[in-house]
Amino acid sequence: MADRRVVVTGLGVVACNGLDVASFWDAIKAGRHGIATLPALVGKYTTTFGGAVALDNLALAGGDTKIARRKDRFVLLGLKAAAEAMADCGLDYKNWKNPFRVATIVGSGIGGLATIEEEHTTLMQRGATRVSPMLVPKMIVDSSAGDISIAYGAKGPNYSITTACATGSHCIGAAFNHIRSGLCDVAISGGCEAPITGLGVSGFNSIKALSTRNDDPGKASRPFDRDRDGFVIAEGAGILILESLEHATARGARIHAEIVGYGLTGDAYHETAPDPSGAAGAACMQMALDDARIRPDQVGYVNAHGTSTKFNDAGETAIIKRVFGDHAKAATAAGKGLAVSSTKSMTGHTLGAAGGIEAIVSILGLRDGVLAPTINYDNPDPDCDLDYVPNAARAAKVEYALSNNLGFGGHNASLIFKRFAG
Amino acid sequence: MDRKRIRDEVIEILCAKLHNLPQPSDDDYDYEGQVLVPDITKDPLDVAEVSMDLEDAFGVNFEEVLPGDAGMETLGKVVDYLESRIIGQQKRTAATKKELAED
Repeated sequence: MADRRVVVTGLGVVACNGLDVASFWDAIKAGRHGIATLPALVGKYTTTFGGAVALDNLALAGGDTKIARRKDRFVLLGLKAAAEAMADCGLDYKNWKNPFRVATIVGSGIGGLATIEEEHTTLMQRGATRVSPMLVPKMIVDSSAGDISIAYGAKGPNYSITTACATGSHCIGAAFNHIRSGLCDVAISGGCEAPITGLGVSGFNSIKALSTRNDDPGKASRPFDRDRDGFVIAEGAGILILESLEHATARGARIHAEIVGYGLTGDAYHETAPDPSGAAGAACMQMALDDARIRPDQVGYVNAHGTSTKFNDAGETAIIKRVFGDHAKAATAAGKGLAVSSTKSMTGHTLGAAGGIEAIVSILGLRDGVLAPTINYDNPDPDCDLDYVPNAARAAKVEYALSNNLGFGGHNASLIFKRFAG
Repeated sequence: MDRKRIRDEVIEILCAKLHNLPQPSDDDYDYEGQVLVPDITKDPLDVAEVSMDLEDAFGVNFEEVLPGDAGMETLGKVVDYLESRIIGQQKRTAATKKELAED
C-alpha cells in the first residue's frame, strides 16, 4: 500500500496560559505567559515558581469526585485536552465504524509523580498494607493512553512512549506512521504532564536545570536570551486528532493542517547533556525533511525545543544552522528565510506534554498565518543568532513548519506540518 | 461498638465511593440485602478501595476474603464479619487485661 496522507482534524490543549485552544492561542499571539510564584514551593525549594494550570483536580475532572480521586493529575490534564480535541474534530466516537482502527498514542515524561509521593509517604508512615490500591493504576505513564482510550472507545493501537521532553512529539510521530502505513484511520496522540511536585522541582533543581529567577518569574523563561538561567517547570497537555486524508474528507471534516514528516534519532552521548557535536539533533531534522520530501528552504518556521537553558538553546541554534544553512538567516514577512521561536517562553517547559502543545502552536501558525513569538528576548546571545521572532507575534504565510523536541537521554524528535491546501 | 453503629458506618463508607448506593439518610432502603459484586459495583478497584477504607475505619484486616467474595457477598454479611472481628478483638483485649491483672 502506498503511503497515505495524514491530516490534523482536532486540537486540544491545557496550559498555564490557556485552558483551551482558543484562549491558549490568543495568549500565544499576544505574547502572554502563565508563569507565576507558586505558594506551595515558597520556603521549601530553590525554585519557587512554575507554570501551573489554574484548575484543581476536581475541576479538571469536571466535578466528578470519583475521576478526580482515581486519576493522577497528568491524566486529568490529558483527558481534558483529549475531550477538547475530540469535540473539535467532530468524530462520532460513540459510533465508530471500526474501533480497532482508532489508535491512542499518548505519553508522559514522568507519569504520576504526585501519586508516587503521596503513597510513598503512606508507606513510610503507615506501613505497606495501607498503600492505596490506586497507586499502580494512577502512577503508570501508560494510564494516559489507557484512560483516554476508555473515554472514547478507541480499541486500535494503544500505548505510551516515554522519551522525557520529546514524548509528545514521538507519540504524534508514531501515530502519523500508523495512519500512513494503513494500520489505522484515526489516532488520538500527544502528551500530558504534571511535574510540579516536591520531587519534580527538587530533582530538576538538583541538576541545576531550573531557572532560579524567583524575584521575577514572568521573565524567567527566556529562550535564546543571553541571560537565560534554566527552564521553568510547568504542567499541561496537548492532544491532536490525526486522520487519514481519505477518512477526513469522506466525512467533510475541517482540516487544520497536514503532517508530512517525522525524524527521530538518539544522541548516544549523556544522561542529561546534549551532544555538543549536534550530530544526532541535526540528523533528526534532516530525517524529517527527507521523510517529507522537501528541501530545507521550503520550511518557513521552526518551533524550537528552546528550553531557556544555556546548553540547549546554543546547541539547538547550531544544529538549525547546520541543517538550514543560509536559509536560517532572518525571516521576512513574505515568508522568506527561517523564523525560529520557543513556545516555552510563555508556557514554561511541560516536559512530556511539550511536543503536543508545540505541535498545536505550529499548526495554528500555519493555518492562521502567524509566527508565534519568543518572549523575554531582551539581550542577544552571540551563540544564538537566528531570527527568534522576538517578543511579538508576526504575520507570515508559511508553507511548512518543523517542530523540535529534544529529551533527557538524548531523544530527538522532529515533526513537519504543512499548511493544508487540499 | 454495637451492630447498628457498625452498619451505619459501613453504609457511610460505601456510599462515599460507590455512587449507585442511595445516601444513608434513606431509611427505607434495604442496604443489608445489597449484593456488592456485581449489583453495587463490578469494578475490582472499587472493591479494593472500600475494603481498605473499611479496614482503616474498623482496625481490621480482611486478609484472604474481601467484601464481595463468597461468604461476604452482601453488605449485611460484611457487617456481620466486621462485628465478629470486632467482638473477637474485644474479647482478646479483655482476656489480655485479665491475665495482666492476675500476674
